[in-house]
Amino acid sequence: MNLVETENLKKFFDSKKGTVKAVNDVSINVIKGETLGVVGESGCGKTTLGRTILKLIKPTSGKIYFDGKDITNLDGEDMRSLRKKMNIVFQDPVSALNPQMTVYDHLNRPLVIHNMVDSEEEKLRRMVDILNTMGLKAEHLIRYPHELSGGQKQRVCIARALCLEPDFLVLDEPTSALDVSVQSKILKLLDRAKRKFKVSYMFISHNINLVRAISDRLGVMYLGKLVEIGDSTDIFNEPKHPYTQALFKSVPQPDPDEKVEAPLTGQVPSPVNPPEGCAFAPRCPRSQSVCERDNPDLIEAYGRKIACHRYK
Amino acid sequence: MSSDIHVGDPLLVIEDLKLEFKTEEGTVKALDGINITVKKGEIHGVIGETGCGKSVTSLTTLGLLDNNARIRGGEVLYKGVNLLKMNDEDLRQKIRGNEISMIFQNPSTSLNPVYTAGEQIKESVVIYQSDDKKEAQKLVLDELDRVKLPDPEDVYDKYPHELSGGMQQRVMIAMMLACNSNLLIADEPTTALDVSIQAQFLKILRGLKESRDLSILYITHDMAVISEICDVVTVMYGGQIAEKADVHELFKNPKHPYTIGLIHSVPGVMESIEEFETIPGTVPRLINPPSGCRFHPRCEYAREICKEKKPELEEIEKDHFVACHFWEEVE
Repeated sequence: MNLVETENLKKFFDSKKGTVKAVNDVSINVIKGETLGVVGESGCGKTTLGRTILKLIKPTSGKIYFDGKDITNLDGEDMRSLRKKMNIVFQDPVSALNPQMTVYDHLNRPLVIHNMVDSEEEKLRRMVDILNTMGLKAEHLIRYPHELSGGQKQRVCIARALCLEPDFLVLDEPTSALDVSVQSKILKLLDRAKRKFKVSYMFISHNINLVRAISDRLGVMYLGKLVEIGDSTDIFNEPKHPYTQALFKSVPQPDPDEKVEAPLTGQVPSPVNPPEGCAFAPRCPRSQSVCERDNPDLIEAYGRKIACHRYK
Repeated sequence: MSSDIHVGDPLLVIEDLKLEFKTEEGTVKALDGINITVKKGEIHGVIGETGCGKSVTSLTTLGLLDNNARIRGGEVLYKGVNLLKMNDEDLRQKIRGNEISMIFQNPSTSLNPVYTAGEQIKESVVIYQSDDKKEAQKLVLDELDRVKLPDPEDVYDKYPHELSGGMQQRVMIAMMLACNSNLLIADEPTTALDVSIQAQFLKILRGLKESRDLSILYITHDMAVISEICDVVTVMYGGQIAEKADVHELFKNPKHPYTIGLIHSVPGVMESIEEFETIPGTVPRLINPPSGCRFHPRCEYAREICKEKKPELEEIEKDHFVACHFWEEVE
C-alpha cells in the first residue's frame, strides 16, 4: 500500500544559463511502514525530489499522491492540516534550530499550531516522551541549541519532526554533519522511532553504506531521473543499471584488502541541457547508439524497475 | 637539510607533542603526548572524531597555529630538523611548499577566486621550477595532466568558481606537485566530494605515492577511506593516541576499545541497523579532560586504574601499539 506516490513529477528551475531540470519525470512510491533510501551524486535531484514531494516547493508538472489522495494542487487550510502528517529533517541541525529558542520552544510551536494538546500537562508529557525516544531527557527542554552537541541538536530536530506523529518523514542527509559514533546512535534512534510511531521514511543520502544499512527499498537517481528502484538487498547484491554498478564500485569499504575502482570518469553533466537520450550515456561503459537517441523508460525487470535500454 | 632520505626512512617525526589553547573558558588540553612518524613513501592515516586533535597536529607541523596556542613540550622533526624551533621566515622559505604542502577539506577557500587555476599553479612553478614564462606554462599543463584533469588547456584558463569541487581539489594537488613537496598533509580532502569523485581522487594520490615516493599524512574521520588508502594508521582520541598499527593489522586485530567501537559504527561492516554498535556518551571537552585514560567514561572495560593512570603506548606486537590498561581482555 503506497503512502506517497509521484507520477511523472517534474521540477524545473529557471537560471541564467537555461532551464535546470532538477527532477525530470520521476515516478516513485513510498510504501507504508518502509524506509525508502534515495541515493545519487550531488546535483542528481534527490533533495529537490524530497522537498517537492512535501510541497515545500511547487512542482512544475506531474502528480503527488499522499495516502491515495491527490495533493498536487492542495493549498490553504487543507495543506496546513496535511503538514502535520509529513515532515522533514535537514542535514545541518545548527541552521535548522533557532538560537534564541529553547528545546521546549522548538517542540511547543508545532504542538500549539496544530492544536495537538489540550493541556500544558499533556503537552509536557508528550514532549518528554518524544525526547526520551530520541535518547534525551526532560532537563534538555530548558536548553538552548548552543548548549547541545551536534548529535543532540539533530536529535532535537528529529524530535520536533516526530512530535506531531507524522506518517511520513523525509530525512535529508540527517547524519552527514555528525561524527561516526554519533551517526550510528542516531540511526538506531531513528529505527526505534520508526517502529514506535509507525512512520515511513524517505532517507536521502550520498553515503551509500549508510543507506544500505537503513533502507528496505532503494532508489538510485542520476541527473534528475530515477534509474533503478527495488528491494534494497537485491540491488546491493546485484545492481543492474550500469550507473548503479559503477556508483557502488566507487564506494570504499572498511576493508584494507578491498580497493575501490574509479569506474566513473568525468563529471556529472550539467542538468541545464542534459544529454538527449539516456542521461548516463556519455559516461556509460556499455552505451550503444540507441542510448544517445532515446531516453529509456523505467521498466520492470529482475523484480525491480530499471531505466536502461539493455534490459528491454 | 639532508636530502638523502630513502623510501622507508622516517621523514616526519612528531615526538611527545603537548599543546594547549588558552580560551576564555579555560585551558584546552588539545594534545597530550602525540607520537607520529611518517616514513618516506608512506601514507599515514590519522583517524578520530571531532576534537580529537588530528587537525591541530597537522597545523602544528606547519607552524600554522593560532596565537592562543601554547606548545608545552615535544618536538616535530622533519628530516631531523625541529620545526618548532624554526622561525617564521625559515618555515616559509624552506618548509612550506617546497618540503611540506597541505590541502584542506574545502578547496574553494584555498584557491584565490580572482585568478585562473593555471595562473595560481604557475606561481608555484615560477618559484620552484622555472621562471621562463613559456616553460612555466608548459610545466603547469604537465601538472594538470598528471592529476588527470581532462583538457588541461581548458582548465588552465578557468576560474575556481567554474570548476567542480573535485576539480578544485585536483588543482590543489597540481599546485603541490609544482612545488615538488616531499610530504603532503591532507586534512579531510574528500569529505566534501561525491564517492565517484573521491574514488578518482584517492586513485591519483595512490599513483603519486607510487610514482614519486610521496609521503602523505592523511587526516580523516572515515574508516573506509583509511582502509582504502593508508599503509599505517594512528587512532586518536581526546588529544591522545589510542592505537597505532599497520592498516591490515588494525582492521583484523584492533585492540583498543575505541578503535573497535569506531570500526563497528561504520556502515558497511554492519549491514543492518541491529548490528550497529554505538560508543556510549560523547566526545569529551578538553577543558577538563577525564583523568587517566581519556576514554574511560565511555569504555565498557574501564576500571579504577583507568581513572587514575594514563595508559602508556605499549608495543604489543611488532609495530602494533596500544594505549590501554586492559588490551589483553579486549575482544
